[in-house]
Amino acid sequence: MVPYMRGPTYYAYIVLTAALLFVILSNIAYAMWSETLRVNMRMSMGEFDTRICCYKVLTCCRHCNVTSQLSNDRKALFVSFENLHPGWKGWVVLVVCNKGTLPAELIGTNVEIANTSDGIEDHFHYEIHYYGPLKMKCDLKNIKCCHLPLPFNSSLPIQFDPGEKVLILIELHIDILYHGEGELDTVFAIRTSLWH
Amino acid sequence: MNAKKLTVIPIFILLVSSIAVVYAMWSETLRINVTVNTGEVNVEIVDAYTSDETPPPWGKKDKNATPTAWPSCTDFEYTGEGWVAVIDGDLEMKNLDKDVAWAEAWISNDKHTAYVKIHNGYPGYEVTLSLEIKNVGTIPVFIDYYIVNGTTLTEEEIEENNIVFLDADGDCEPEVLIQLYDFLGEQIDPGQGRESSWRIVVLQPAEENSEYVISVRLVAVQWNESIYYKE
Repeated sequence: MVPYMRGPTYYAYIVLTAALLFVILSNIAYAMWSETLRVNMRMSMGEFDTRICCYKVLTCCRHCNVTSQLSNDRKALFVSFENLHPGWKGWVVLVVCNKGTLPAELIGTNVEIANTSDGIEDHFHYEIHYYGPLKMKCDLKNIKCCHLPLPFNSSLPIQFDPGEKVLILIELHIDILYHGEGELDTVFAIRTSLWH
Repeated sequence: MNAKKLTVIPIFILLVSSIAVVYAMWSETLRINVTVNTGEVNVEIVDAYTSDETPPPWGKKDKNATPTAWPSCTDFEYTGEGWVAVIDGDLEMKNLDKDVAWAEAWISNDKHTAYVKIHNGYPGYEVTLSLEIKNVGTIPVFIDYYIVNGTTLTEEEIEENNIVFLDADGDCEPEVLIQLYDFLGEQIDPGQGRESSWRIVVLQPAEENSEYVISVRLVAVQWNESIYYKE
C-alpha cells in the first residue's frame, strides 16, 4: 500500500493554524484593563523688550554740529560731534522704555568713542545720571541745557516694570587743556536684563 | 399512475409514523444561566490646581527655581514629541519680589484630562501643579507609568532620576523641566484617591514670545496585571 503523501500546502496550513492559535491564546493571557489620564501643559513665554524710545542731544554751543542715529534694535545711539572746542559742554538725554511684558532692570550705560580727531579723546569726560522708574511721556521738546542735571537721581540697578521708563542724562564735556577744534563719534548703549 | 403504485405512498407514511411513535420519549432540560457582570477600571482626575492661579497684580509673588544638575547632549532621547532627558537632581528655590507670571489648571468634562496653562513665563519661573486622582471604578488599580512627552517612566526610574528636561528644538538646551513626584507603585482601591504635586520650571534657554508643551500620561492598570503587583 502506498502511504498517503501530504503536500506542502497541508504543512503550511498546520503552521499557520498553530501560529494563529498562539497569537489568540497570548492575547487572552495578557489582556488587561487599563485607562490613561492625561495632563497637558502649555507654557507661553513673556516678552522682554527694552529700548531707547526717545532721545535728545543738547549741545551748549551754537556752531557745533551734531548728528545722531539710533541702532536698528534701538539699544544704542550713535552721535557724531563736530567743532568741539575746549570747555565745550553737552548732554545726551535717553529715555529707556519697557515695551515688553516682563519687568526689566537697567544695569548701566556704555559710552564708547568710535572715532576721534587728534587726541580729543584724552580731554573728553562724561558723567551719567539716572532717574526712575518713571511714568512719563516721551516728550523731550522742552528740555534745555540750563535745566540739567535734574535733582533726585537714582542709583543702579533700576528696576522698571512694563510701561515704565528710565531717564538717562549723560553730561559731556571737553576740558580746557584741549587745543583747537575736534570731532568725536560716540556710541551710547544701554545694558538691561530681566529684573531677577 | 396505476392503483398499485398509489397504495405505496400511504403505506410509507404509516410506516414512518409508527417509527416516530416508537422513538417518542419524554424529556426535560435543566438550564444553568450564568451571568458574568464585569467590573470597571475607571480612574478620574478629581482636582487640578496650581500654586499661582491669580493673574497679576492680585496674585502671589513669583518663585524661581534653578536645577542643581544639567543634562548633557548624550542624556537626551528623541521620542517623537521632542527630546527628553531624565536625570537625578534637585531644585534650588528663591522667592521673588514681583508677581509677573501665573498658571491656571482645569479638568476636562470627562475628567480624564487636566490642562495647565502658564502665562507670561520667563526663565526661572517655577510653579507647582497639584493633581488629585480617584479610583471611581470597581477594580483596584495601580498607576504603572508616567509617559512624559513619549518617554515612559516607572517608579524605579522616578526614584533614581526625577527631573525630566524637555528640549523642543534638539539643541541640547532644554527650555522647561518637570520634577515628578510619585503616584506610581501604590494600589488605589475603589473609592480611594491619591494626590501628588509636580514642579514645572522654565529654564534659561526658553525663548521669549514662544510656547512650550508638556504632555504627561498616567497609565492606570487593573491591580493584578500591574508591574507593581506582588502575589
